[in-house]
Amino acid sequence: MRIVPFFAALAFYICFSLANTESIVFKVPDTFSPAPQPIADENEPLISLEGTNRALKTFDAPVDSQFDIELRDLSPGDTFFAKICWTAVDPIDITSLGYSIKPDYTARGGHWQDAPLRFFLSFEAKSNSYPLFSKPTVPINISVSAMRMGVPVDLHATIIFMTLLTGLIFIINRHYKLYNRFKNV
Amino acid sequence: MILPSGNMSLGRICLFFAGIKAIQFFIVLACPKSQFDTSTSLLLERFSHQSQTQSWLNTRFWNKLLSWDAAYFLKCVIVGGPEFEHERAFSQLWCQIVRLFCGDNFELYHVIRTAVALENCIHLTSAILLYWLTAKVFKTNTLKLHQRSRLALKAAMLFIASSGTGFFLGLYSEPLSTLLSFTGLIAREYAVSYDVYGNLRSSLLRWPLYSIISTVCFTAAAANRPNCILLGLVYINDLVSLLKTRRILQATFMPLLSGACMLSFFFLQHHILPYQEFCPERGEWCHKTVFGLPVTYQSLYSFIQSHYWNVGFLRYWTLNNIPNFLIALPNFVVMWFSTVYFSIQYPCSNLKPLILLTKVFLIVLLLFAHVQIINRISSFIPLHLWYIADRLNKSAVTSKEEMKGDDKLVKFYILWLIFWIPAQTALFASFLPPA
Repeated sequence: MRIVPFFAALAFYICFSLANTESIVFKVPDTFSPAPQPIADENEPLISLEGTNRALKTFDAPVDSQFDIELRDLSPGDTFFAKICWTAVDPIDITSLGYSIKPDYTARGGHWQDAPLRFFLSFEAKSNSYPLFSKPTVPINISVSAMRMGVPVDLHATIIFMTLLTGLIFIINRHYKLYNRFKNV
Repeated sequence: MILPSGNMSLGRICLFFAGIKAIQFFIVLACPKSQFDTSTSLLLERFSHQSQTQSWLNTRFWNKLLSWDAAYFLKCVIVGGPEFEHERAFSQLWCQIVRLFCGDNFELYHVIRTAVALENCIHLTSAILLYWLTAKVFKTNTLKLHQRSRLALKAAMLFIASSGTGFFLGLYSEPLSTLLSFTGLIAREYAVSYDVYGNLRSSLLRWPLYSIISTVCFTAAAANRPNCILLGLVYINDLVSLLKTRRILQATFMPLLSGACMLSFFFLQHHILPYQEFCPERGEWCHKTVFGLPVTYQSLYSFIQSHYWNVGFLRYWTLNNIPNFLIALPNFVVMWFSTVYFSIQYPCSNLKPLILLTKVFLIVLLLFAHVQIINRISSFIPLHLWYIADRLNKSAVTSKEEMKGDDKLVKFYILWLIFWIPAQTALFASFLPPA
């Protein structure tokens, strides 16, 4: 079982050291009571995790102003990993990445008591270049995935692949003694 | 001077190269399709149509070669030059060479395929040049012919299967600097000789080899990757050696002239031309002038590194970077030991410039840079490859019990490489660190 902390450490290293990625880990409160599904507004940025534990969507985020995305169908008590990725050819920095839970006043006719809750992810895309990045919006991939064994589920396939690859190399090296072969070239 | 057994060795180098690259390409192909950093899809959308980017081969292979800095090179090749200031940190020389080979077709996948083919050709050529360089360098020393041949072959193979080889599948500029660095070192090696006391001698008859070919190569290597400016230390070392033996004429017209040319070009490329282009409108960097003259004391490259990537003195020495220091550790240790080995245990007069170069390179990297990049940017220095190859040759004739500290270190390093190269290839294809 020593392998679990190893992968958790690896995931921590990976998740917080990428250049074109900002990420955040958050836990949905056990008491989180989501708002009933409102009629979908096409202009409202949202990501739904209905029937899945991961989702990826591209948005045109405004440059130099805050951008909020609603996250829907999050399981209460579950921990999630959100990733904001942008291409390196767009010279921006992502700042003020955070999340917030806001009561949906509209659902109770303006009364805040027992109002259902909505979950938002927010960040600001700031231009960081010379000359200044002049486009009003920038395409950004936002992905949300559940965490299992301390690792986001979208990283599981890669970890399994890396483990198999390492195991295969171990077997090949043990069988063919690569160091000795190379030494005697 | 290729050795008599050269043809066979060259064949083995090519075969080994093909084998390593085939394994790496297979790993890329077999890696999970979805990358951790999802930004490649945005890059592809920018420069191509979805119908093209989503084809079977593109999603499983070509798209995975666009991780990290490859995005900047790809943009530069397609667009034709830098759009923003920070894009100048990525080699414009490499970008223009790829453009040249692309002809007039700058369609995304044509560019990727051309760049990958070119990168691999350059990587293989560099390995062959290293074989040649090794044979020439160690001819001056006491090694017998068959030992030299084995040393050269092992060094070339180690270079092919080096710690940065995962990055050299795609669009990175390091192999070009390596090619130029090895060519320059070969030219210099042919231009100089050593007397029985180990003093440097040079003939003015071989002046073009030294002052034209090596200078052009080293200058171009530094223009491609600014860390190669350290190759100028070879000239400083030669200058001091020649001045010590009062060979003023040679000292002036060979290392002094070459070093001055190299430094002047670097100054022109990173100080004077950018100042003329950006200042005074740019502010910040433009204010760092020397005595109010229209020239800055900090290069634009250094400013960009500091401003956009937080590169600077001890800035990388933070707790969260411990994994990066660990990733860099094998190369740091082996490179440092190689300088000790060729200084004390197996002293070679003609390796002194490379010992100096390696030491300064390590110090600069440790104190100023993102340390993990040592795995790829150290490729232009061959000293540690010779150290490993020599210890492997020597340990091949000793029993396991007689293995000394160096041999154990080399064994661990080779074992690390055996696991690191496939792992790093998979990490790169999955757009995962280290960068």
